[in-house]
Amino acid sequence: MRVSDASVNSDLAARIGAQRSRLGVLQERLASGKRINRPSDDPAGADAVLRLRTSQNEIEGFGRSAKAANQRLTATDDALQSYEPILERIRSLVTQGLTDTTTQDAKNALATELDSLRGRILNIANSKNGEEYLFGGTRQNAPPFDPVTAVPAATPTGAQYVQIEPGANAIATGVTAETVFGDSSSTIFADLAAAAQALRGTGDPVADRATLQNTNSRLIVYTGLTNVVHAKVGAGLNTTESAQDKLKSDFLSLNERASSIEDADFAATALDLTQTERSLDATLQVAGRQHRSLLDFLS
Amino acid sequence: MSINFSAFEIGRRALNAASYGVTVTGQNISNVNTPGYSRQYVQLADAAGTNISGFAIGNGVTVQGVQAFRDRFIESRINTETGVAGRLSAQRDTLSPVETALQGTDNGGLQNALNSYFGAFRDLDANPNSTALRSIVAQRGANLASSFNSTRGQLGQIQRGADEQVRDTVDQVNGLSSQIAQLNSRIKGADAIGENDSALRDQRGQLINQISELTGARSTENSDGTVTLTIGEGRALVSGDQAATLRATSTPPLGLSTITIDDQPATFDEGRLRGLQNAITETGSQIDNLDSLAASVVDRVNTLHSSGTDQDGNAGTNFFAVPAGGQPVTAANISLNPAISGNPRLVVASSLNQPGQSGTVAGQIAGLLTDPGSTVGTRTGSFSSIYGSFVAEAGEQVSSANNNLETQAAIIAQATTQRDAVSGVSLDEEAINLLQYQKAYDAAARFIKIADEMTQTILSLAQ
Repeated sequence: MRVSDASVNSDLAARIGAQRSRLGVLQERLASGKRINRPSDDPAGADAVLRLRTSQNEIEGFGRSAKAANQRLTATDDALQSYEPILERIRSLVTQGLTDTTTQDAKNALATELDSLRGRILNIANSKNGEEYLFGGTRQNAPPFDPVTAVPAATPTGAQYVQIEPGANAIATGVTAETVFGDSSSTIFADLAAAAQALRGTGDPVADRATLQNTNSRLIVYTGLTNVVHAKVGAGLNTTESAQDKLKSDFLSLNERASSIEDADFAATALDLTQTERSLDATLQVAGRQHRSLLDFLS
Repeated sequence: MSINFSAFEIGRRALNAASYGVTVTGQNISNVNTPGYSRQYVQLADAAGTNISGFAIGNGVTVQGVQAFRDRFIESRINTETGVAGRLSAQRDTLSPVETALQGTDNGGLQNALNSYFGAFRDLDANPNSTALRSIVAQRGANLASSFNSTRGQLGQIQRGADEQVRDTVDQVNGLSSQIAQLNSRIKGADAIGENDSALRDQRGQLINQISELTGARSTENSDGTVTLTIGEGRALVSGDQAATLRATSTPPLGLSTITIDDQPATFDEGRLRGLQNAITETGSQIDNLDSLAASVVDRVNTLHSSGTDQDGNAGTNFFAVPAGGQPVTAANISLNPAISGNPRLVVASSLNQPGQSGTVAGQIAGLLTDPGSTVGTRTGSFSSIYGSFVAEAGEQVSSANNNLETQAAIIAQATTQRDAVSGVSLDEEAINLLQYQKAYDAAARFIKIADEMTQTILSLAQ
């Protein structure tokens, strides 16, 4: 085959161009650390990475939800923990009040303590977690119980639910005051008010005794309610904690998958870069060498 | 024996042939780097003999003409392949900004806007009473709308840019085709009187190569030396000394150009024009994709959003504005409901018909991003995966154009090497030719000198 001067030159130029563009690609990969810098570098891979990143985003969102739920459940747990000893104390006060040897003065003192404990329970029931009533559930426009009269709020309420894992059912992030501090028949505040009144004496000792006995049995009901609710909150805390762990590990594994698709193999790329540089050097050397023709030898 | 002066004539012809040879060699050497130059050679033939005393003795050499080494088939193959490369590089150059626009950056772009918008609803799901989170949802919603607007704007600009190029290219093609038509007529004239038209042919070859790159035109050489160029559907672009006129006219609704050839619709099989047309169509379909995605997002979000209640327990409104007069929502007109941007408390999180909140609706809206039940145009899937498929599609277009272009470059390089093997100048060869013609010239001069001496000898006898 005839080799003309023009084709030697254009061939060299094309080779140098190709090696330079290869160098550019490799340098970009090394600089960004990524094998896929634009979708056309690997359309299927880019699509996969995009999906993984969306899943990661979603998991981060659920992670924030789980954290918020966990925080709210922890606050509920704390509130219940301070509520339980008060219930205990009230039960012993009522028992003392039922004892025949207790004098009226002592009963009055018991009634005063009962009133103050009732006030503390009302504070707990109306306590706030940030902007929200901790036991308000979905009703947040009014405190669960009127701060003065302790009358339950009129608007019906329900537990707040939040989804904390992709595809999973939403979990309750707290309990409503109605399920802790009362039931269909009465509230703890009404019962305690009646008990305090009975301790102070209404003039009918038989009825007062019956009231206190009723209070005693109601207190057992409230303790039972609290235990049930506390167990639910504990279970919720477990769920949110394990969900957070799972979300974290899911996030990491998604990260790993995305990275295995889009990240450049550093060693291989660096090696490739060195090789390309070397072959470019060689090509340049060949190009730089004076191409001699017969004319050079004719003097 | 008589004095024979025919030796001088033979010598003169030999000198003439050698100096022709040197000149043509010089011409070849000086055009060693001229693109499209075909090397030339002197066609020599021995002159027919004269019958002297029964012997036919030759009359030396005659120069029959100067010819170029040319392979029409390789040249037409190069033109065809150049047309393909023209299409591919126009597609790649136009579509690579499309993929960049769709891909966005690490922190910007539509994908991120989608993620953070639906992510904000996820946060609202966990804290349905928060006004601050509602403001964030509203902001992210506005950001999503403006990302749709700007991405679509970029695609529109790319489309209009490509259309500008179509118009420029049409002008170039018209210039080239009229030049080729002129060259056709000059070559025809030169051929008729047997003139050396190699330079004209080289020039025409270059122009045909250029016009092939632009239009993918096919060339056929006719017996009179003219070349006929045809584009898609066999319409003649150049025929003899006639050049057809391409015209780009704006066509509604987008004002993109339609190309006509002598007022008939023109189609191109290959070439930059075809590539630009393909890229415009592809960009148009990506714009349609974005429009359908925007419409679907608005539809699904609005349906859920207006099913719930806002922070004050009032019935929810549309989250995104719905254009008046039943106009469809597009990526260009998608916008936040102005009432919501004015009052974030109108953002819906709850399904309860009362003040106070559950996050049900917010959670449902957040779930839309990955809910596989969305329909966008003809695609079904989640918003996220559908958008991913747009990006992958744009990437695939560029990547396949890139790969094909590499292959095409190799094919053209190979064909060009083949062409150069026939038509290219080799300085070594020319050096040998130069030596050869120089020696021939020397020998002819010596021959004349000897003939002269012989004549002198004869003439001196007469003194």
